[in-house]
Amino acid sequence: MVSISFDCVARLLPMALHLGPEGAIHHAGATMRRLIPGRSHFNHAFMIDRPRDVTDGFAGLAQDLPDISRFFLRLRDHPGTVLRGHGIRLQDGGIVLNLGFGVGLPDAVRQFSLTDTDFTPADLAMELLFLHEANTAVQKELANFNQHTENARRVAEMQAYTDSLTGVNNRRGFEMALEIAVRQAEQMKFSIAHLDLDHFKEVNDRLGHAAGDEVLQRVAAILREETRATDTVSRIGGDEFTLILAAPRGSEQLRKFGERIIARIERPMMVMGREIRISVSMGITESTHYARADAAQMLLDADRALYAAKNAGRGCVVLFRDCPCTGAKPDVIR
Amino acid sequence: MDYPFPFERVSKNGSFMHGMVNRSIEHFLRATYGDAIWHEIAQAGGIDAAGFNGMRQYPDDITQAMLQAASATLGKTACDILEDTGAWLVQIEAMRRLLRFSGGKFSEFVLALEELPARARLVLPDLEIPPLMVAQIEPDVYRIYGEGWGGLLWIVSGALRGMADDYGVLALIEAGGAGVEMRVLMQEYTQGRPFAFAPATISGQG
Repeated sequence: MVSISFDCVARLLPMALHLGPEGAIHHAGATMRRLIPGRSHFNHAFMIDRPRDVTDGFAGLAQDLPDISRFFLRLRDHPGTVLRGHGIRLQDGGIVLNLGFGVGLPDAVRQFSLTDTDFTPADLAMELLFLHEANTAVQKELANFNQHTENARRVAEMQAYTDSLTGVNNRRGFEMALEIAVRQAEQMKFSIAHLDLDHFKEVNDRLGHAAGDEVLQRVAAILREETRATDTVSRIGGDEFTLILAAPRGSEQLRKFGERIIARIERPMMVMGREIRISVSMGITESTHYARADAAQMLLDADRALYAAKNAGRGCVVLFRDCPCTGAKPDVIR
Repeated sequence: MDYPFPFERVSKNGSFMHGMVNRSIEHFLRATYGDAIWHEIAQAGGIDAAGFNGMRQYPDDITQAMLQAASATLGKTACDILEDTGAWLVQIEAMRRLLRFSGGKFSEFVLALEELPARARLVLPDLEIPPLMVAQIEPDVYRIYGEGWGGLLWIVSGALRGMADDYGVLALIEAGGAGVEMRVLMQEYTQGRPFAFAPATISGQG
């Protein structure tokens, strides 16, 4: 049988402790000494964290040792650090413990400024630290990538809902916005305005599509200027626009709002060196008309009001609430 | 002196480059020469200027096209571009930290390069790095080589240059067809960059 000194053991196991029968610290490995500098007794250096039923420090640990396959010790000087380990009892009643950091390693390395020389080559501590950091880096990379994809998705989505000619919503964008407005109608009253340009076909026929396109862009710009950020402007067909007016406006306000837009669109425009005059007809319906806002019904009614405006000689605004033409009255009037 | 693009066997299946490699080259070009030049290169090479996804694989052709376009645009050889990419890469704090975990001293770090493929696999299992060998020819002379590294050996060469600076070591490094040859001239040439094994307080702990 070969006996080796604890100094040799400590060189192999820098986190090992040799304790006397009463708990005095006889020897400690080099790394262990950094954790409990100046401590000469087990009970001054450690509290037993687990097993929970060992409450009398070293005495309890020594007594139960053969039965405790692993235990957890908290450093008295650094209660945030818990070591895990196992031990054997020597013939003279002393104890040899070998301890490690477990998953608390990254914190402990920071706390005690440990380096690779504090661990043996067999220890996986460096690999664990490496993985800990590599994992953080990869997570960051993934997060970047997800952000990238999310941005691309948003751009694609926006493009899918945008009319490329005028930059306002297209029909899909309008339908989407209307769906949201209907869903929130109880909290937020809204109105739909349906607009149709008058004499637009003549512009196209006389001056060509390029001129027509420019007129559409000018109209879209006017609509955007005259509406609020919470409103939705859409071009849903050739020369058909809609507005979803989200903020509550009274009927009189709506009428004035419509008249202001018409007045602006009726102003002569210079397009490709030619003066152009167009106008617009507008039909409006308000969500307050309906016991329950219904997208299809409201669209139909806005369209009826628009039709009434056209019949009334164009260039005017008609509110569905006093629509003279349909005969069919709204289902519910509040 | 224009080297060919020896990318015949970068990944084990032979024709795909991990997005991380492409992304590194892309980010090096952007960081060093600016987004405008990158767009020029991307356009010349027929590459999506939005850039690469580090988490997928791309056909080797794309890498070659990027390098060829960058080479023509910048008036540098593809090998110089790869070497600069390597040197740039290890200046990134996260990257240099990961590499420094391989060894406390530069000599340990160099010898541990043989472990690099296994380390990389721990983090990115589908990043298939071919084996890398380190031969210590003389006490201060090393040759780093490996079959299937092709043009990526120039990235290794640049990364070694950067890491020598990081450890504060003066070394002569040259890449060639047979591998990267490195002669360490002075161990403690400068203080190097400070390094602690403890991770920087990322999550507000500590």
